Amino acid sequence: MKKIQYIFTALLVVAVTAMSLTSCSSEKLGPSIFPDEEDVLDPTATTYQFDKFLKDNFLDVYNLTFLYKMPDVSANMNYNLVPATYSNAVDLAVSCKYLWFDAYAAQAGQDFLKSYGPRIILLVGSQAISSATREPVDGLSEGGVKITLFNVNKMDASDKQSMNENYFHTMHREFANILRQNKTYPTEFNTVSVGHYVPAEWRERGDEISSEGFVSRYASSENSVDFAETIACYIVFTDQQWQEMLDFAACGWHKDKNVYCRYYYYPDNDMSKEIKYIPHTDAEENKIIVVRDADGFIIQRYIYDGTTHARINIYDVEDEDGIDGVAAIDRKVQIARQWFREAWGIDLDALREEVRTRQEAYNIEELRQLVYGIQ
Amino acid sequence: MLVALSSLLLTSCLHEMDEVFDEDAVIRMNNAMAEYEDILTSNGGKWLLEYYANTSEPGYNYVLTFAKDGTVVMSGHNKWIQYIKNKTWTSGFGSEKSMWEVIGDNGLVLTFNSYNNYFHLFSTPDAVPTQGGTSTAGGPSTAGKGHEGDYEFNLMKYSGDTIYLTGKKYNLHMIMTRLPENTDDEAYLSQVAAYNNANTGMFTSKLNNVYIVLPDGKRWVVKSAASGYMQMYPEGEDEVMMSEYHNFIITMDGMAFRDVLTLEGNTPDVVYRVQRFTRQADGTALCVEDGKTLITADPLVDCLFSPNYSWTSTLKNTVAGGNFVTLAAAITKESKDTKNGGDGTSMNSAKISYVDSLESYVLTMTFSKTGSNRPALYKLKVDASSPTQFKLTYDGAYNYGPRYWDMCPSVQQFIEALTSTTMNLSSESLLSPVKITMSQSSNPENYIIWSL
Repeated sequence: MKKIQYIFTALLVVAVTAMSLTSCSSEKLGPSIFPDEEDVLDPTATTYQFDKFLKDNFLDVYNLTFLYKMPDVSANMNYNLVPATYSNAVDLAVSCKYLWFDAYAAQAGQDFLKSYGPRIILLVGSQAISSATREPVDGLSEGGVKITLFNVNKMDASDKQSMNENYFHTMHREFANILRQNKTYPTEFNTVSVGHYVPAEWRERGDEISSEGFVSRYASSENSVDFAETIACYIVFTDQQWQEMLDFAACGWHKDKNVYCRYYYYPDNDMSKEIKYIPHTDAEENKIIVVRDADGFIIQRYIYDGTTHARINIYDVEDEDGIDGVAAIDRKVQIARQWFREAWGIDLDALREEVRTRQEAYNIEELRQLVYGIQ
Repeated sequence: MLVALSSLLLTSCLHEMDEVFDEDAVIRMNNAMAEYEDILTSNGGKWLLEYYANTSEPGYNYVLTFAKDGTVVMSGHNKWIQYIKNKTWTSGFGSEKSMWEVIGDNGLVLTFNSYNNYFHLFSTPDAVPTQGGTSTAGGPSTAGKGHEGDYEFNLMKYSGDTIYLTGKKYNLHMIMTRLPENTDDEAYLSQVAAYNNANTGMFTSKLNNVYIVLPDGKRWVVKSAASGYMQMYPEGEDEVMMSEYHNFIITMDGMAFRDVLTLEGNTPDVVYRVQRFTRQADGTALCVEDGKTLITADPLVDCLFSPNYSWTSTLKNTVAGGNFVTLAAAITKESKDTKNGGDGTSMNSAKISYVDSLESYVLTMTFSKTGSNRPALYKLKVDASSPTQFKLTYDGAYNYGPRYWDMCPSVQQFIEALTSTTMNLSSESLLSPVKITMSQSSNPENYIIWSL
């Protein structure tokens, strides 16, 4: 009997629930509460030229919203941030188009960027400094759709080298991050430097990091960052920068009093005395003099002692870390190159060459006319 | 359960709703945004923003001129602007054009959304520069935080040409009031900066304290008012335990605390709420809310004769008048006249101060010769009959006092002029009396201006 009661009760509940599900369906949805307005630019607005440039070159082409008037709600509320200056926002936008979007479009086509490019680029005037670590962040990519570029107000668009190191490098790294968020990269990459990542202490490392197979200090923080950094550095480094990094990678380094040293010497050139190490930066400042033989091989290196003006012979520290830094970096580039080709159909070297060519031809005055020349 | 479920159904299909608003939320939001844009840009679009970056710095005046093309000219006059401009710490004027917008962001928000060097300095996370190498104002510990000032503001209310705002991230209350269209930003802000001067402004750092005097006579001792960040505690009570700290802003017509203060009076459970004060002709500040609470300093006679201060005068005709100028000149003439008993010195200045060793107030005349100073001390007894009136009595000469008393007949006449009649006191500001005029009640043309 109890069983019948349960069944009856259950049927009633189902019936009542069904009624409730249908009882409100008789009324159709009304019109949207949002006004049906087209997003039309106001020609009288002081930002009209810039807004039109952004609409024509980013929104209409890539469905990308370029946020240069920073609403705090779009940024991380845990940081204290300020908006970008208008003039620097213009400089960065035209540079983004020329050195990033146009470069990728030339090598991969516009459809590639339409599919995988960010949907939002947010410019922030200040650095994002963690109040916990006091360390700055210069760029962020989120969810594969949004890239935030910080510290725009410190930007000097006429300083090509600074732009390359501080902004274009960040752009390409964050875009590489977006790409790897869309398609995983080969796990083999993670094995190249396994055991040598230092997530907490990477900021304390110096040029010796190349000897351990990393293209930058940041790359040594974790493998996914390493992947993006390797791509970004490969794309934006000049030949000279890349070669210098490889030279450092081939060197030995000795840690002396918390400073990495590439050279050592004997006081008074007396080899019976205790070896002293020269911090790399000190050696550079003292200008190393190199003596080569007729075949170009280095036979002697020396610097002047600052106090006695005596000539001090200096010697390379042997590379004893057990890591072939050059081979590790080369291997990482090879993996990235293969991933670009197979996953995206992009020739990384051609992309690099495209960016290089554009970097050399980069002229901010001309690029600004893309905005200020709009009638 | 069934009954309950059924009762829910009975109400769930009730489609008739009261129409509280005539239009949809987005339409209303858009209308409100347009309304605020009109308010901000109409009548010249000029507003005074009383800006607070945080709860421990003074408020800063900004004159904002909103234009319909989305630009705003932001003008300020403070030490941070001056530091940006030339790395010095006096108050300086700066004005720059940037952008503004009213946006719908969980309510109406006024945002200054492109960087303005002279305004967003309070929002940048860079470490606050330290003044004179001290860490009182900032330092490395502020890296990542900066001043922690807002640049986006929730628009709360518009009433009587005043817009009430709260900072979006840090929730500090602020107001904007409309200024006349022809206001000259720099002239206006320079005048306010003069009122804000820590030495000669509305408050002075030269006085140890002033008072908030409540309508029932209760006084709250106020310290460090010239810094823009007041320490205050009920007079007679424990300073350490009872002190409160409040920041405020100096304005063209007076001053205002960041928030309403609730101060206890003499009667238990009776409190007074005060926020805005108007600067009066005598320099004191009168509460706008109750029309009675006053901010003032000690009576002039207690300022002039205080163990805490010393007052000086050169006794030249720019800071003295009548026979005091004449007698001071005669004293120097007599002391310089070596042929007739003088010692070749000049009387350079006079000072009124309390001398501990004499346990008395003293008039000190300083005679100088080739770098050496000879202080002549004349002890005075003070008998105050009102806050601005007193009578002095000569009570003996000390140190070089007897020497010059005998050497210079004019010294005796000077002391006679000081003590022969009651003296009146006046000052341009009873709140910041850094200069006090002391004049003979019998002949006001005989006077000395004493400077703190």
